[in-house]
Amino acid sequence: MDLYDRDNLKAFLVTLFGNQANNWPMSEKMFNLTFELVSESSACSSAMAFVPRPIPYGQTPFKWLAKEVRSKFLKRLKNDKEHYVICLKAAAYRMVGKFQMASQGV
Amino acid sequence: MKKIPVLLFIFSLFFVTESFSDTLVLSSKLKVDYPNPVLISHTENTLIIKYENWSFLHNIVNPKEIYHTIDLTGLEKDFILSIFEQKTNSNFPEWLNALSREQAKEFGVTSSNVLRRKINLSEIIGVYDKKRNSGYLYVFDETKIHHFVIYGSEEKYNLLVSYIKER
Repeated sequence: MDLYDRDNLKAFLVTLFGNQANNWPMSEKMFNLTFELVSESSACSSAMAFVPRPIPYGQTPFKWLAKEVRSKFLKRLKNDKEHYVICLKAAAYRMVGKFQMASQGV
Repeated sequence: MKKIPVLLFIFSLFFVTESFSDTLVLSSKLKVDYPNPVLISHTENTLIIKYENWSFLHNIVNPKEIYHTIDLTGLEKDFILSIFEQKTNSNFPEWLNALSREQAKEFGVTSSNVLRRKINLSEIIGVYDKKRNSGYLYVFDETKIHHFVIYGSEEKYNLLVSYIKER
């Protein structure tokens, strides 16, 4: 991920999870978990509109999606983060442990 | 004959490995006795206990951090119970009842899969979501609410419940 993508991802995750996300590394794993979080929520489908799906079995979203698509996806999340915080909060609470594990590299 | 002491030694090693455990003290009256993990990690507020093919996490419920943008102070116990009981709480505003229903759906709560158990004055409530191979447990002790999340099989979820004991 380039610096711009990492900034967008961090801005989104901090809005969703609070200050703890400031210390999380914006890695490929974090992108994949974010993609999983958003893609599983039908209430938040707008960010997925331009993402080719389904992801082939065994592929990770980060590897499957072209760089441009990843960047557009992250830009949409950042720009509409207040909307996503509302529609994703229950899913985020379910998944926060996975993000915490990924942040520790475990 | 020489093989017998060797076999006894190997057997004793196996026994020691299996029975070895660590203790996580939850309160003056509650503890978790868990087998030796592969690793233990700690974030700002969460303890991660990791095994080869499963993990569990523990934190104390902070009503200001369940949802980053909502302060549930004073309502946290009722809110968490409402997730599992799937009943409309007449003391809640409608948006909070809606959020409770949404969280129940995320946890995979149904009318038949909620676990409830008492340990003296403490109560355990939880659910295992087969679809996501994840379990969510809350332990209400006298002063705190403990939150456990397990990523692994239902068998491990049930084991974790059995690890929570009186001190």
